[in-house]
Amino acid sequence: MWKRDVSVKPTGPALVPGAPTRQTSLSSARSEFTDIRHQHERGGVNIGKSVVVRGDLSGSEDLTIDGVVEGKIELKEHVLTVGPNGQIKAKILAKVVIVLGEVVGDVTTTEKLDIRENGSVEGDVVSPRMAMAEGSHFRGSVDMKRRSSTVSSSLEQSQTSQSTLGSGLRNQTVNR
Amino acid sequence: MAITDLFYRRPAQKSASTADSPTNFPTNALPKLLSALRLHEQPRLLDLGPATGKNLTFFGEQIQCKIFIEDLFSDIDQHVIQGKTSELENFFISRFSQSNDSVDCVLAWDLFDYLEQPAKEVLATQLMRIISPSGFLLTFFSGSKSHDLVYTRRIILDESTLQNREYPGACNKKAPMLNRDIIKLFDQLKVVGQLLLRTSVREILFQKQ
Repeated sequence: MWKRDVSVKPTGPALVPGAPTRQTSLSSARSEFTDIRHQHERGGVNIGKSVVVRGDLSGSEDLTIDGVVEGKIELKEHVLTVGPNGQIKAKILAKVVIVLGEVVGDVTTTEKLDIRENGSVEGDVVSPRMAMAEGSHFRGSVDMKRRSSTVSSSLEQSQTSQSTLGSGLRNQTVNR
Repeated sequence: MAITDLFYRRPAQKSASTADSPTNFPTNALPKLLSALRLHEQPRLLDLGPATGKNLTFFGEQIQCKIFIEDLFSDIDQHVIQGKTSELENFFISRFSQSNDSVDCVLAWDLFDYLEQPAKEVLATQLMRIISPSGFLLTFFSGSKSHDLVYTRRIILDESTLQNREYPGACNKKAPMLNRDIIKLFDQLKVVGQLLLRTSVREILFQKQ
């Protein structure tokens, strides 16, 4: 009986007073794991919070940034997620942009910009759809008029200036 | 304190918490403004309040506006916190980068309630400069002074209904303006719609001549 208890003991972080309950921490860990698994299934890439990138980033898969990026980000057909620790000072071109951290720079999407709670965007936005959660911050201009041809041409134009890596990302400087 | 006191206090606490709950109210000016904006291909709209998702979606998707967000309430907060409220008038002179006659509509909500007269005059002059001929200014003016440090977010629920949501700020409402003073303040604009709400707030829609 006692052995059975030991065998189901969670391997996650130890519970401390004031921390979420075991059930909550287990469920959040499970959802995080599911997110990571989905990201792997989609072939997504994660830039961790200790990573600083200065230069241009382009890719052909979904990308989550939790670190610092300064320059330009292009994910023509994919989703860019700026994590809660993400700090972006860049011009962004992507299909969908989800912001939980900070973005300073112009954002162009072909589908949607989604600013979540505590997310912040300062810059000019061109996006056919935009969502802002309570507690999010936005400063700049918004153009929601559908101009898919303009967006795709601007994407293609910038695409020619640099080649895209098939399975990864390219940048000028990476500091860990 | 007797134990019964605790029970007497309960209703008071409840009413305080419900004071911050959103309230809906009708608008006369907004339908007029929207019908005028729909005549433009892509009207340029300047919102001087904080960005709200519903308003952005409404003006962006339904009216096809190009929206500029310049949250002057956060600017006021910064000046109040730094004790530089008297510098607001100079700040407003250089605050707006927009060129003359370049904006089709300005949403000033109840911004003028929180400003002293010199700052009001500078801001009004700047707004009249950037509004295009036959462009609009939508404002709300409170009928009473308040010591509460709260601002009100106006959210568009539909074409004829707005919702108030209060949020904490650093500044209180100043003495209310008389109608003639409001009209004098915007001497280059004419009033095209006016409604006195039950809350004694005056909703005024101006148009540049």
